[in-house]
Amino acid sequence: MSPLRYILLRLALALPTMLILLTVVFLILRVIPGNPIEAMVGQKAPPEYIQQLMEQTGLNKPLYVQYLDYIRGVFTGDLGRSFIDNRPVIADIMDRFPATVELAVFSFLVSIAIGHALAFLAAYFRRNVDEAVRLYAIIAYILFIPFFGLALQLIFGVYLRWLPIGGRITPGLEPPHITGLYVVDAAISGDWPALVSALKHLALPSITLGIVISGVFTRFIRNNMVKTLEEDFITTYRAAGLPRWRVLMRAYRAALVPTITMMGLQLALLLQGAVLTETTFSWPGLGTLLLERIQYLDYPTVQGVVIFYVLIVVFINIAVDLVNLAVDPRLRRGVWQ
Amino acid sequence: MPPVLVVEGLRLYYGMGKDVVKAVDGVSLELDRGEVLAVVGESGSGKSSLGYAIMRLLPENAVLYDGRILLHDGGAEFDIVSMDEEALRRDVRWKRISMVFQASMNAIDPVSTIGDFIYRIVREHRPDLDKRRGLAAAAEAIKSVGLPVSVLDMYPFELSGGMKQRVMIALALILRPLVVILDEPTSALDVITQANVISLLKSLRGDVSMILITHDLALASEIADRIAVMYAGKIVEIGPSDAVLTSPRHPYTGALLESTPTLRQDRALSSIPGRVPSLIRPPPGCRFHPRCGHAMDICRREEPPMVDVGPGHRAACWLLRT
Repeated sequence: MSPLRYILLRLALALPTMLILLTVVFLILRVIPGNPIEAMVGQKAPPEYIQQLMEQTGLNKPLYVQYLDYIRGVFTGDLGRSFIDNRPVIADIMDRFPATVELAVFSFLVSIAIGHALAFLAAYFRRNVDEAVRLYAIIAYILFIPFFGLALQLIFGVYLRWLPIGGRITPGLEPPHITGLYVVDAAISGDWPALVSALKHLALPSITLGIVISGVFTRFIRNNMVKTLEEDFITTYRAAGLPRWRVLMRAYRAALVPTITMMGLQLALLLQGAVLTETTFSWPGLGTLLLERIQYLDYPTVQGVVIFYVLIVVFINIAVDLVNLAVDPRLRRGVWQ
Repeated sequence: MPPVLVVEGLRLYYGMGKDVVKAVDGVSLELDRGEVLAVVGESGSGKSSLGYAIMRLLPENAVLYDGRILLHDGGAEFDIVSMDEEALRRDVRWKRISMVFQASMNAIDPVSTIGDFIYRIVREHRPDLDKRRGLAAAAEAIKSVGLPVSVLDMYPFELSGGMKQRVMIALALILRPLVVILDEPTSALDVITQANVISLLKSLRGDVSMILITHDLALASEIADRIAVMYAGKIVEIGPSDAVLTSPRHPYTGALLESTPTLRQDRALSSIPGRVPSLIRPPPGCRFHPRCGHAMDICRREEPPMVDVGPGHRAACWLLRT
C-alpha cells in the first residue's frame, strides 16, 4: 500500500467515527434540560420574539429534520451559525484555535523536555535517582492544575512580578494577523515587543500544563527504556564496549515507536484545549469556548467543536503513523510489501 | 610464549531472593594463542556464566565476582576482573576479546541496518575510520563469513537465523581480537546451517583463540584442541580433546560420553542418573558424588583436587589419588 492510499483510507475510516460522535452529541445536547433560546434572551422575552428566534434557528422543526439538515450542512462544509453571536461556527473556532495551538505546542515542548531528561537520568543512574524521578512523576501527575497554576501565579506573577498571570499578550501589542499564532506572527513581522510579550504570557500556563503532563512522559519513556535494556542486542552493545549513555540511546531508539504514539495521543488531547489551564490563566482557547457555549446550549458551536476534535485526532494519528513508518524499518516493510 | 588468557580461581555468584547461586565457583584455565578450547557441560553447569564472567558482563544481581582473568597482549597485561570500567570498555571489550552470543537471533539492533550496526561498534574503537572506510571494513568482514555484501543494507528481521549468526561471527572478528568466546554458536540453527557455521569456525582456527561453550560434544571434538568439562560451576576435567574424549578420567566425563549418540558404535545410550545439582546448595565434597557410581566415603566429605593424569590432562576425582 502506498502512503497516499493509506492516508485516504484512514480519512475514510474517520467518517463513521465522526458520524457516530456527531449523532451522540446531537442527541445529548437536546436531552440536556433547558432551552437555548431562553438561555439566550431570558424567560421574560415576548413569546413572539421567541417564536421568531425558534424559526430563525430551525429549532421549531421536528428533531429528525434538524438532524438531517445539520448532517447535510456538515458534509457541505457548513457548520451553521452560533446561537450566541450569530457568527459562523467555523469563525468562532478559528478565532480560538490558534490560542490553543500555541499553548498546546509550548506545554508539549516543556513536557517532552522534562520527560526525556528525567527518564534518561532515571534509566542511567537507576537506584535512588530512579526512585526520586518516580516520585516526581507521581506528584506531577496528581497536581491539580488550578491550585498548581495559582501557586505559580502567586510566586512568579504576584510576589516576584516576573511574569503576567493571564491572557495571551499585553493588550495593544497584538501582532498583525497572519496565522493567528501570536508568537509566529510577531516573529514573521519582526515585532519584537509583541514576541516578548507573547512568550512571557505563554510561560506560566505552558509550564503548569507541561509539568503536569511530564509525569506521564517520564514514566512511559523510562519504562520503555528500562525494558529494552534487558534485550539481547543491548548485551551486544555492552560487550562491544559502547559507553553506557550510548547504549541507553540505542535502547531509546529501539523503543521510539510506542513513545511517539504516546506523545501523539497527548498532543491530540492538548490541541483539544486544556480547559482547566485555560480557565486558570484566562487563556482564550478552544476549551473555554466549549465550556462557555455548553452553558448557553449553543448547539451548533458545541457540535462544530466536536467535529473539529475528531479531525484533530484523525490528523494526529495519521501523522503519528507516518512518523513511525519513518522510524521503524519493520513497520515500513509491513506497509510496502 | 605465555598463554593469551589465564583464568585463576574465578567466581561469579548471583543473588536469587535470599539464595546465592554459585554459577561459577573457582574456575581456572589457560588459553594459548590460536588455540580452541571447548567448555562442555549440561545445561545449568555454569558454562554460559563462565563466558559472561570472562567478558565481565555481570547481571544486575551479581553478588560476588572475584579471582583473576589475565589477558596478555604483547607486553601488556589486563586483569579483567579488577580493571577500571572505562579502561575495560576502551581497551579490552571487543578490541581484544569479543563474544558470539547464544541468542544471536536477537543480538542485532532491530532498528539498524547491519552496516550501521557494525559501523557503530567499529567506530567506538577505531575513531580514525570514517563511515565510508568503516563500511568497507564491515563489507570485508561480511564477505569473510560467506555472506553477500548486500546484507549490509538489510535489517536483522530480513535475515535468516544462520545469516544473523554469521553476521555476529563477522562482528566478533572485525577488530581482530585475541580471544573470541562463542556461546552455543550453533544451537539455534538447523542441521545444514550448523554444518556451514562449523566449517566457518574451522576455517578461522589458528588466527584467533577461541573459547567454545557448548553442550554438543561432537562439535567440541570437531573444532577444539582442548576440552574442559564443567560440572556445577567447576571444571572437573580438562585436557587435549583426543585424551578427554577417548580416555576420560573423571567419571562424569565418561558418563557424559556414554550418553552421547554415535554412528560408529551400535550401543544403548545410557543417561546419567539424577539431576544437575542445585547451584544454590551444591552437594558437599565432590559435587558429582550423588550421581556417581564410584562414590566413596571421602567424596561426600572433601572436595577432590585437580591432579595430572597425562600430558596437559588434569581431572578432579578422588579415584585418581588412590
